[in-house]
Amino acid sequence: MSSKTQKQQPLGGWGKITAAIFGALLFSIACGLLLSIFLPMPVNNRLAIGGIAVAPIWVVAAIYTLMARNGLRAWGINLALTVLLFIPILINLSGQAQ
Amino acid sequence: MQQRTLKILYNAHSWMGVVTGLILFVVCFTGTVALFHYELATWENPGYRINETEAKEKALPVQQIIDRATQEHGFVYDEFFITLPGRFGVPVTFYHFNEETHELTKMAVDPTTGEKLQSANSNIVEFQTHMHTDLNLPEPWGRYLVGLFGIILLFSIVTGVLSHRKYFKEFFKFRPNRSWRLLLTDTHKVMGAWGILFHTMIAFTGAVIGLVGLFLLVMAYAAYGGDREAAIEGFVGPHIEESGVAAPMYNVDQLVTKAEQHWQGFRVEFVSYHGFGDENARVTLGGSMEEQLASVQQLTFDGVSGAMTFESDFMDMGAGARIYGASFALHYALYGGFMLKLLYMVLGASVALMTVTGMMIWLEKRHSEDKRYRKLSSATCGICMGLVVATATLFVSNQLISRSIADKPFYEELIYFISWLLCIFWAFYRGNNYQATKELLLVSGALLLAAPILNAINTGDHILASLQKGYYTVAGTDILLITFAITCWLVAKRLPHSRPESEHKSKAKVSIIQEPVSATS
Repeated sequence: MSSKTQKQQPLGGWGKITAAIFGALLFSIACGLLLSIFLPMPVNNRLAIGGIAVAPIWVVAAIYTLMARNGLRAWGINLALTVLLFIPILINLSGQAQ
Repeated sequence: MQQRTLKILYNAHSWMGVVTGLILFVVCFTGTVALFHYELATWENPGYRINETEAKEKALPVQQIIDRATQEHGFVYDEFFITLPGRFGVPVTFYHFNEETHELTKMAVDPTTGEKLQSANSNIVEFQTHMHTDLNLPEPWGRYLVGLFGIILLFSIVTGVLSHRKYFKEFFKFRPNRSWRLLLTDTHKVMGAWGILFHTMIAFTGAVIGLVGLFLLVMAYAAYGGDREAAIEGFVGPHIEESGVAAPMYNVDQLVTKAEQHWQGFRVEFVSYHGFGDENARVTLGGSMEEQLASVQQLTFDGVSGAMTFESDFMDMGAGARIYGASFALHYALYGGFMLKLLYMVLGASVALMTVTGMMIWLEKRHSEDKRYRKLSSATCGICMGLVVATATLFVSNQLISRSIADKPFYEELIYFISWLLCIFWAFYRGNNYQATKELLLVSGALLLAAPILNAINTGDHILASLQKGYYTVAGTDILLITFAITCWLVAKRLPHSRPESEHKSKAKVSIIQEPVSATS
């Protein structure tokens, strides 16, 4: 591997692989949760959609993650999107608890 | 698509296949066997064999069968589950699961007489199904793992399709008479192209069935604001505590009529009692809708008054619930008859073959590079072919081990794993994987042929006798086993004895050495 390519890959290939497995999983669960809370339909239906959607979203997110320029970027995008999606989820949950 | 993107997709497809291919093969292969769960249950238990036409026409009312089971056969439990004749097999089967000891008590009853049927004390069908759904691991972890492999298969399918630029050309690109590696590549691509809809469906529904317990738990926690009880009640109805006061149960046949009138085309296939004999008892009737993809429809009634208390209608809950409700019917081929199962078997076997051919393509490319690849090649041969031998061994051990041996299921499973392990050792010992595959195929063929012969000797139910007696599933199973045996023999005959490329190379070397000799002479 050339030094130029190594410079382009902080965390190396493993960074991208772990991000595709775990980072994309976190993102897909966040998507599922968001759907199961906010979809404008009866609770059982949006629950089923949220649960079912996790698998295909994980697959698509994992493939996109592998396309990232490097592992750091792959993790960064996944975590940033997950945090972004969790904000309305947590606001909703805390509202329900009160 | 950019060259870099294509390379990443191809590498992701290859490496995912190499890392998970062998376990995927186990899940897919055992799945094709598990498809025939109820047909094989009749084959493995000679006592369960009853005339299938009579069983349909002369079946007793369900209430009469329950009364005989509870009063005469001693099947007395607060909670139990009954499968009615139909897609769950010919007998009426009673199940009780002990929550504390995790033991399952099972009793099969003749639907025409209510008589208890004698079990062969065998477990090969449950074992095969458990291998497919849980990889024989403790629940629920095995189920989650298999669900994860559904997602992995989905990932492999998507990356496989995207990494092929000329996808539609692959449909008809089959060149069997060129090189061995090309034959493997073409087989992999042609099967992938033609079976893509089935493969995607089976991967997606497998992931849903395997992981829905986990994902829905998380989603339900959020959707119901952390109230787990409310989430469960939303799907299965409110939990009822037993009062301890005895009360007569409402006639279940009348409940079946009510249920089938409630939804047009609803066919009751199982009955579940909670608190049987208690004044707070609940009866749940479940089944499928005719001509629709729904197999988990359920209605719950008050066990004493017969009033409907809860309905779980997956057809009316919207798209998500409908997809979930259809997943089981689609995955287990519950929306058709025996012929649909045969089609599923062929397509399911193509998924298993795709994982093996994928592994073989990868290994063939690297065969001459390193000793480690040759070892991985032996492991692939041993694990995949060994599984076929081990499955065939199950059928033979079912016939050979006496039902009087208390631990018969344990010995059946022990023989299964020992034979599998021996096949792996044999593949490593042989070194030549082509020869080892041929030999293991011949062993599989011999065992598969022995199973119906032993069945005929032990029970007298050879194919013609089974057809005469109306044991159609037994005759069908025997025919399938013989067909597989012949297939194994034919494939073994067609396979090369050693790597074809190395044969060509050695021939080429010989001709180079011989040429100067002939020139001088």
